[in-house]
Amino acid sequence: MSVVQALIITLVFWVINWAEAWYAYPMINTPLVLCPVVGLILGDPTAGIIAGASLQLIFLGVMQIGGTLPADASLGAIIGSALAITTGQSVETALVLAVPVSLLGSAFVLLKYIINGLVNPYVEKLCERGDWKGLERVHILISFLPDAPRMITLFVALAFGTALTQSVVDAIPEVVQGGLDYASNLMPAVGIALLLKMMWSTRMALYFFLGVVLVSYFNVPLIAVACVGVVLAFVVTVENKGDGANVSAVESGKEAEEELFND
Amino acid sequence: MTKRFQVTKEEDKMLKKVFWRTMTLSSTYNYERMQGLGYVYSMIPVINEYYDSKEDKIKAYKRHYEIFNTTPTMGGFITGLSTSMEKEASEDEEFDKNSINAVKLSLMGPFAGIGDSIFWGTLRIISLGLGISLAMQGSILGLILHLLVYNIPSFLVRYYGVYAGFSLGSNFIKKASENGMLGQITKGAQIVGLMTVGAMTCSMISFDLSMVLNIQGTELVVQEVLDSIFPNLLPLLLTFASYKLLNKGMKPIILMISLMVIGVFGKIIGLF
Repeated sequence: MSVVQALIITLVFWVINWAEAWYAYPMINTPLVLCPVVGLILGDPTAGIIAGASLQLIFLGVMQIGGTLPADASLGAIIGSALAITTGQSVETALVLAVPVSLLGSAFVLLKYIINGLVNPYVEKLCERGDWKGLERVHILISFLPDAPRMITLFVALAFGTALTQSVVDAIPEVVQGGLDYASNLMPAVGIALLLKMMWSTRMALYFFLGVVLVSYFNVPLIAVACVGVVLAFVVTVENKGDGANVSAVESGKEAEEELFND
Repeated sequence: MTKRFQVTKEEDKMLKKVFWRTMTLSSTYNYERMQGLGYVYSMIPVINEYYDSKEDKIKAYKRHYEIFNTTPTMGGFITGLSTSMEKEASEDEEFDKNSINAVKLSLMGPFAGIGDSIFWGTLRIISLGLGISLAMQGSILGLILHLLVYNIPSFLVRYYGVYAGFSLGSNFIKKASENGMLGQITKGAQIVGLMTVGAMTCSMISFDLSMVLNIQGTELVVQEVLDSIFPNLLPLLLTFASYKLLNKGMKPIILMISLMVIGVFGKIIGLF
């Protein structure tokens, strides 16, 4: 990877990272999107897409709600996929690199929130003065500047990490590589478990097992499971709601919506 | 939209500004004021439009630079509502301006709850799940599908949320929670989410044993036995074990590293 490529990846990531928060989280700052972009810049988009899919699965449960600090999946995915693609390695190398990097990366996110907070007294003064142009300026600057330490680290890791990665990868014995490759198929369990931690309730467990059975016994593709889910959700929620006497379930659901928006 | 929500041309222009600005709520998140700066930023066009005296403006800036935190996608309902309340406050001297923040604070929790479960918990999982299953085969369509499936519904909520909050006012929220609509939406989202996650547990974890036992001359392929009990038994058990460990407070990263170690160890002893 040339220094120029490292710089481009860093800048593109900075923009994506900024746009994610600025446009109310359109889910572009995810391995599924970031890795293909890295692949494109490095001249191997297909490798990027595949690495993105694997890394996304592992980091599926990583999300940031209410200011908690999860692993920095984006930074891990970028460094992991970029170094794996340049050294001509496969997904398991990307994985081995991405996991520890994502752990270190979360420290940068913490740092960013702390830096964001440093301007609070100044913002108070701006409010006091009624300087709304100043408020706008601070909001825009703080939306990307505190990410500088993270981005500089990324650039250094990309520009100078290739040789190091190559020598580390070469030193890994074959059986260990095979084991890591195998582990990369197990690791989505962690992501899914993290999701369950958020969603699970005994009362709703039934629906989880419905999804399990549909795939295990009927080989239903994921999109079809989601469709069945949507239908079922309508039936369950609207059925409970409608009085059933003179309006059909769908009608009453429609009406509730109309009522809401026509008020 | 001006027709449906009964807003004037000028209001429409202002609400569009509020929409664009509300999306940025979390951009300057910090631990003390959380989305406070983002909230003032969203309200600047409103405050400048409705208040003439500098004093009133300053009071309004300060009013909105307070702690606030919700799911940015749902934020429009609340900034839209604040807009309509600021409008009333600017027209009516008697209006209790404290109620503006009281309403904000009382809504941010419930809206974050619904927003997180619908957008982060469900829609994100479905769109990423669909995206991953296509991307695994090296197709760029996976990425495109993910972005469309996630962002079309989200965009509608982000955009119309501002208008709904503005023109339906606080009664709207009351009504919605009284007829149980918010609870129903959350429940519906949970159903779709859990089914998708159940499906992903079986389609996206591959956990097969290659071990063959030799019992008194008969070869026993362990994986076949497991499959005859229940297909995907091992992925399910692994997921539930991970769930239990996470609930006991194990860090996800430690769990990932443990799985790497297990993978290598299993290869060495020939289990996998």
